Amino acid sequence: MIAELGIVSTSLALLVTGVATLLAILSVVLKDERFASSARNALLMTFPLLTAACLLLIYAQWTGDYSIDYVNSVSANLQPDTLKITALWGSQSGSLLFYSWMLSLFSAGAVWLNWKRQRHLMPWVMVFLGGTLAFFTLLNVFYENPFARTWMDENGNTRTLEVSVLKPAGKVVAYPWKTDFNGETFNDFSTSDTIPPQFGGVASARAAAVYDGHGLNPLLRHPGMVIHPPMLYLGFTGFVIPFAFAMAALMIGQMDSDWIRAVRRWSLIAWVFLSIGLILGGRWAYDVLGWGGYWGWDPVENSAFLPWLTGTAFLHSVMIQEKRGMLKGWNMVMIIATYLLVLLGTVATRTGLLSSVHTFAESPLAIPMGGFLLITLVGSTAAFLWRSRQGYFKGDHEIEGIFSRESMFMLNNWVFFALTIVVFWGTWAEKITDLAVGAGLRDDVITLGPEYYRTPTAILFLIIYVLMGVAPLVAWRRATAEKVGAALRIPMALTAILVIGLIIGGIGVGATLGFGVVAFAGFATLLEISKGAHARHKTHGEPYPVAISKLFARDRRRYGGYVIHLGIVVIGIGIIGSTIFQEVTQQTIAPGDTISLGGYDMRLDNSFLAQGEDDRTMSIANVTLLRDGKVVDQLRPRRDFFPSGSPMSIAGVHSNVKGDFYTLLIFTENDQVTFRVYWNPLVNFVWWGGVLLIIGTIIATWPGREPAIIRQPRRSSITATAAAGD
Amino acid sequence: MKVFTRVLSLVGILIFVGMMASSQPVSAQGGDKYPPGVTADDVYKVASQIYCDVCQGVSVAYCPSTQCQAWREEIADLLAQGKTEDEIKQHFADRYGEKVTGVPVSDANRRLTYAIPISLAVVAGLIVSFQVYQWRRRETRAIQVARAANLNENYDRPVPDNVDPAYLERLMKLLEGKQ
Repeated sequence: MIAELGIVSTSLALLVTGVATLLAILSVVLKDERFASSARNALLMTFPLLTAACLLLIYAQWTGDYSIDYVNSVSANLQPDTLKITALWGSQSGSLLFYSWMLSLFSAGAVWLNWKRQRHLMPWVMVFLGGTLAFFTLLNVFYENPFARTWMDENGNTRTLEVSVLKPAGKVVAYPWKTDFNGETFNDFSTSDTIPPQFGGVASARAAAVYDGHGLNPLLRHPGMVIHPPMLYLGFTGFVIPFAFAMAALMIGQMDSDWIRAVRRWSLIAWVFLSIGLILGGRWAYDVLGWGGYWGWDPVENSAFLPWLTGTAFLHSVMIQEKRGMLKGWNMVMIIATYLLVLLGTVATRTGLLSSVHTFAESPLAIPMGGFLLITLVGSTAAFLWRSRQGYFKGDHEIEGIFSRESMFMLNNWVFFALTIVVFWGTWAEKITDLAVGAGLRDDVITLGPEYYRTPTAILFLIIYVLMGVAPLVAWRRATAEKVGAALRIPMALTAILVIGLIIGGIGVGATLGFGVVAFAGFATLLEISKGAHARHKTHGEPYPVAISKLFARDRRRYGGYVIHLGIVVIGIGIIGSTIFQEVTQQTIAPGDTISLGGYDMRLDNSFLAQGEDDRTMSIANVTLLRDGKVVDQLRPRRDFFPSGSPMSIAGVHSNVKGDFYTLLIFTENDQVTFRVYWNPLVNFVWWGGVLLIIGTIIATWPGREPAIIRQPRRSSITATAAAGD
Repeated sequence: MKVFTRVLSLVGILIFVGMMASSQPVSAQGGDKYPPGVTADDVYKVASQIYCDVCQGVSVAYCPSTQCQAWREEIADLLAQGKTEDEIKQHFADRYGEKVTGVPVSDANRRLTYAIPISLAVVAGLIVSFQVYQWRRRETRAIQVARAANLNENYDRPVPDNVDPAYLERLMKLLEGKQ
């Protein structure tokens, strides 16, 4: 029954999105308001339909309706309740349904919230939103239907199992059973979910058979996986809104700042979810993948990082269009590129095009998704070129001074663009050179690993940090070197003191340079905030905490942006510390022996085997962590083995401000245990920086009052009020 | 004194490990057997720069597959023979192709690896510079024209950062209307 309801709700969602798109096209062609209103209602309707589909699948996972193939593959009786719910995004078809649901959530939100303010853009916005949603629900219904069931012959012949949405002729629903036979687990099917005869014989060795599913992939049974995929999907799907508005603006030929204002907040929301997704993905890798790091330049990590880079560039360049009416074409290119990279990342992950631990298995999605990507690429490029030839992207102003905020933003965009190229080439070099080999243009394939990325990305990120410190101090239109130099004096002096301290501390040239540049960006940002607070304190007589809070309330976007910059600074400190100063050793020790690393001594107390509730066997070691002979912590690294799938290492971690003592159990033989131990200095700054980044984005996106009337300017000078944030 | 004690303990550990290593193979990751004189750390350092076909982007150092175990043991054998890091990488590249190393080992492929992104970034940089130069020229002319028409005040006042763009736009429209 659940499967039937799920099939009906997803099919209805497809029908409704198709109708919404058609009505939106009619409203554009016939310029009839009634079609636009109907399209809006239809688009809003997809959200409850897809919500119902998701809830039905969760219900099936919760109650264990294993006749549904997807539920059988991701849920099991002994699986914790939380994981029974999060199994919705545990594999291909469920996560694709979840992806569509998020698309419908964003689409409904955008239509609902922007309906009045951007009324003239909405018909075209609905065409693009509806079209995208229709494509993904089409995949849910025809290619990866999560409600497809397993079917078998009526006579109980399990050799002809078939997974299908509709009932095949002469077949009945198959129910999976698990049984132990001489200590080994066997999976079998029956025509009933209540103890069928072949499993019911008391004397039979199979009497202990249970109606059960396979359960979630062990690597996904981690708290990070509960929240990481939804965040990443929110980031991915969120960028459809800016894209739809950009395309609508292109189609109606209105290149003023209106569409930019409509998408600014949506872009920031999508960007922060993508950021959270990336950080949580790093945390998951750190905790589960067992290599002591959080970012491995894996192709799928890169696929999510690429739209983040172009999205970040857009969030900066968009300010030039808002303030000065410039870079209209560039902003259009950046938002289209961001969405195309989102689609490319989705295609790469879901079709097995790139090999990675994150990808889903190869699936029939390659052709439809590749086709959709191609159509979007060709369509958006053609629309852009069409308007470009008509001269629609001519700016309202030109650059007045080479040394100005505008030129700083352009430099910033160039660096982000260069980073995008570096990461894109690193990710796709294998496929590109493979195609070249196939075409007879080359003899061999180039595959690039983390070593490729280190130097170019380090250089480019250092430039970004310098710009992060300098750009906010440079005036719009034109600035003088004297003024900027004066503004930079204090952060430069503080940086110089820090650098001298680091040189005396003997931490090496690379680390000194890295910390120096990152700290400079931090000092400059803090100085900007303190200058504003000081101005308020002086002009309004407010105490500093009040002045800071009013400063943030007055100009949330600017000061939220500064908090985001501070978050990036803190992340930078963590990355430099944990990359340059990481120490690692792998040793085999017996009980009572110690491994020394990072100023700690780790003593093995004992090791033993244990059985988990969900069929996992755990190899566990009890270790004591000592510093200067004193016990500081008791850790329990373990390695989990599952009946199917790869083993999983759960690290024993002792965390503090200085860093993580991180130990992995690699192997046990008798009472000897092999550990790989890492000292990851400052690694926690990466996570704390992530928290700051989220706080900053919340501040920047928090809705403020829109100025409805032109207010009388204050009598005080523009400069004083500007500094005070009024 | 503390440093001296630590060094002494480290020397002691090293002597102990050396003695153990000289007597029998050392059991390391997943039961890897390394020849005497080669530590897991030595192998790890090289293995973390080599990738195998079935690892899905995971380096040989961390991969639990039996193929990677065999490769780690091969790396250990090569280290025992006195091969350097680069020689070992070259050895694997010769046998399995350059895709097993993080960056190509041959000069031609290595140059191509970096030349493509650098040249694309440089071209983009030149386009940006040219565009800025063009804008600057046009704007300089516009300022000259405006000054000649005594409208220079529009060009001399910087826009404060915190002025709401919508407000600014309305203000500009209002001023234009008055003119």
